[in-house]
Formats: sequence, C-alpha cells, structure tokens
Amino acid sequence: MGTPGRQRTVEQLVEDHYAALYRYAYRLCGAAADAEDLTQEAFLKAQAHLGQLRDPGRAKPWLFSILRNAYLHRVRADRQERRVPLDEVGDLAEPLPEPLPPVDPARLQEALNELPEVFRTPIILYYFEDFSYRDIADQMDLPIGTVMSRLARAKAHLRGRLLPPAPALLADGPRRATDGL
Amino acid sequence: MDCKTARLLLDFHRPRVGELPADEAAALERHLASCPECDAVNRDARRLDDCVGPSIRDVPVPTRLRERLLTRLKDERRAKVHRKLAWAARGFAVATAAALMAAVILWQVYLKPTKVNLDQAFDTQRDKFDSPSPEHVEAWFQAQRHVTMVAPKQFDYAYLAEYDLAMLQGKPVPKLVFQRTEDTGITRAHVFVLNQEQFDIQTLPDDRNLLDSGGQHLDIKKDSPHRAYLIVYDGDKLDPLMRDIQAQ
Repeated sequence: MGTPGRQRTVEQLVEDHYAALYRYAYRLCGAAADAEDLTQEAFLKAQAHLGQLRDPGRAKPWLFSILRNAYLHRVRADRQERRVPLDEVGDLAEPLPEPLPPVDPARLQEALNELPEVFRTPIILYYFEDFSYRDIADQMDLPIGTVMSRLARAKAHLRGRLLPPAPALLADGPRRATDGL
Repeated sequence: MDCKTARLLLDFHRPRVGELPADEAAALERHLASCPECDAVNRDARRLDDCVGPSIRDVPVPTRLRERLLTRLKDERRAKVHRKLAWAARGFAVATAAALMAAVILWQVYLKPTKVNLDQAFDTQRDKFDSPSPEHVEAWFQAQRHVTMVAPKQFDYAYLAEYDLAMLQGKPVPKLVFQRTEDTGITRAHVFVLNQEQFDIQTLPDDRNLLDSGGQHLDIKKDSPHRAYLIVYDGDKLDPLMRDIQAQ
C-alpha cells in the first residue's frame, strides 16, 4: 500500500543522508540514543511531508531543518538546556599554540553542549562544510550578518575551551578581531 | 585590496564551500601573499577550522542505523494505512448507524401501520350525531379537524348520514352526506363546502344544476362571494333533503 514513488524517494533520502543527519543530531543533543531518536523522527516527518520538498537538490538542508525543528521542540519541552553566557566572549581569543593539540571528543561535545542552541547550530553546520552561510542563514531564518556574528562567538568559545593559548603570545594580551584593522 | 576588505572576505574564504566568487578569491589570495598580518589571521582561522572541523564531523554512526531507519519508516507506512482503514471503518460504522436510525425513524413515522386508538376513535365519533344541526357540525369540524367552516342551512339535518373531511382536487374540504330513504326510493346528497382560500369561488356559476348524467346531478349553491356548496346527489331531485320541504 502507499505510494511506491514516495517510498523510493524516502528510502533514497535515508541512503544519501542518514549518516550526516545522525552526526548533526549527535552534535546538537550530545547523546547517541537521543541522536538516533531525532534522526528517526526527522525521517518520519520527511516521509509524512515529502510533498513539501520541491527541489530534490535541496534535500539535505531540508532534512537538517526538519531535524533542528524536532530538536528545538524537544528542548522546549524539556527545558533542560544548560548554557554559558557568551556576552563576555570576544570575537577572537588568544593566538593558537604550535602545534595544535588533538581535540578531545568528550571535551568537544561538552563545549558544544555549553553553547546556546542559536550558537551551536551555526557552528555545527559550519563545520559540516557543505553548508554555506546562506544555507545556515536560511535554516535559522536569520540575516547572514547575524549568523557570522554568532559563528565568531561560538568559535571563540570552542577555541577557549579546547585549545590553550600559545604561552609565548599570552604576555602580549589577547587579540581582538579588530586588531590590525 | 586593503586589509579591512580582506578581513571581511576571510570569513567567506572556505575552500571546500567556495562562497567567494573566483575573482574575489583570487584578489584575496594576492592580498594574503603580500600582507603577513592578514595571512597570519587567515592561517590561524584555517588551523582552528582544520583542527575543530574534523573533530566535529567525527561522529561514529551506529551499526545498522540505516536498517533500523528503513524498518521504522516501513512500519510507519503500514501503521498509517491501518489508521486510515480504522478511520474508514469508524466512518462506515457511523454512517451505517445513522442510516439505520434514519430508517427506523422513517418506518416509525411514515411506514409503520398506526395502532388503532380505540378511545380516540370513539371520542371523535360518539357525539357526531347526538343532535345534528349546522352548529353542531361546525363545532365538530372546529374541535376534531381544526377547520372553520359554515354548514349549509338549507338541508334538513335529520337526514345527515355522515360528515368529515374529504379530498377534492387534492385538497381536504368538509363534506356532508345527507340521505333519505322513502318507499319511492333513496335520495342521497354529498355536499362539499368550498371556500375562497382553497378554490376560486367567484368563477363558479351561480346556483344552478351543472351536470345531469341521468342518475346523478351536480349543483352549485353559492352562499356568499367566498363560500359555495358543491352538491352531488342522486334521485330525482334534492327537495326531500331540504328543510323547507320538511316544514310543509
């Protein structure tokens, strides 16, 4: 029963995007079980509303957008987000050390979890690298300038949490984004 | 290109995404080659991206996740079909129940033979002929049939045999039957009481014998511009049923 063409398309969407969608979900919520639930929920919604996907070439941002909405719905329901304020975070932190130490996965997820969702989503999408600023702005329904501002703050947060500053440069004090301009 | 423009464009200078037009990317590359400060900022940003990006993307995907997703989607499609069938079944059940109820009501109201109410039948008939007179007949029509009518005064009500509503050209009209039996024969008259509300009285001809088919006659007696009596009778003449004849 059902629509064979639609089934094939949904299955094709799973084949093409399930891994990326799961990774995105994992980085958003920080737990494997929740990520799998979110991925499943996103594909179920995609199956139910497949007619809304006019351009098959935009399937990936469409699926990511569905997943984000599902995540936000859960977060609003749970009210469990614990976040750090980013008002005090500068656009750029201290210079990076040479060489860069390896990033600890647990600390990375912890640092992501500390970010409010409006900062976490753009940084995750940014590092997935298939998404342009325009894509991120569309998904979040924000101006590109706002996206870039949030990205800068989120990057600074990750940098501060994951990468210690170069000791030799610390004596000169922290740099700002406007240094040298 | 100056440093300010270069710093702005650096954010869009992502080799894997390619958000900068080729000419702007080339101009930026030229600037970076000639400006150590901007180049340092760019390399710093790229180093951060090259360090954090792969780590963010490095999420192990659970084994058989793809199979579980496909199975769940398939189950949901089946469940959706079942839900639709269940709704259709509910809808069919509701429609059937409604149709049955309508049929029962229709049968009760229109098709089921009416049970004889003996008391009511007796009440409507028992005093019908207690004291036959025009006033008595008029009162009976008013009480039992809710019809206001004027009974013909020229008839002798001692010969009133029956009266009630009767259909005339599809309309219920009061009808009185007078009958007198004598050695010479039976005189019977069916009197229909017509009014202007139901029939066009004014176009009726005045008091005359309209039809004579041998054994039966049709007379019109106009009592007023708004009322007439249509009288069908057999026998030679109507006189034996009339009041003034009785008085003689």
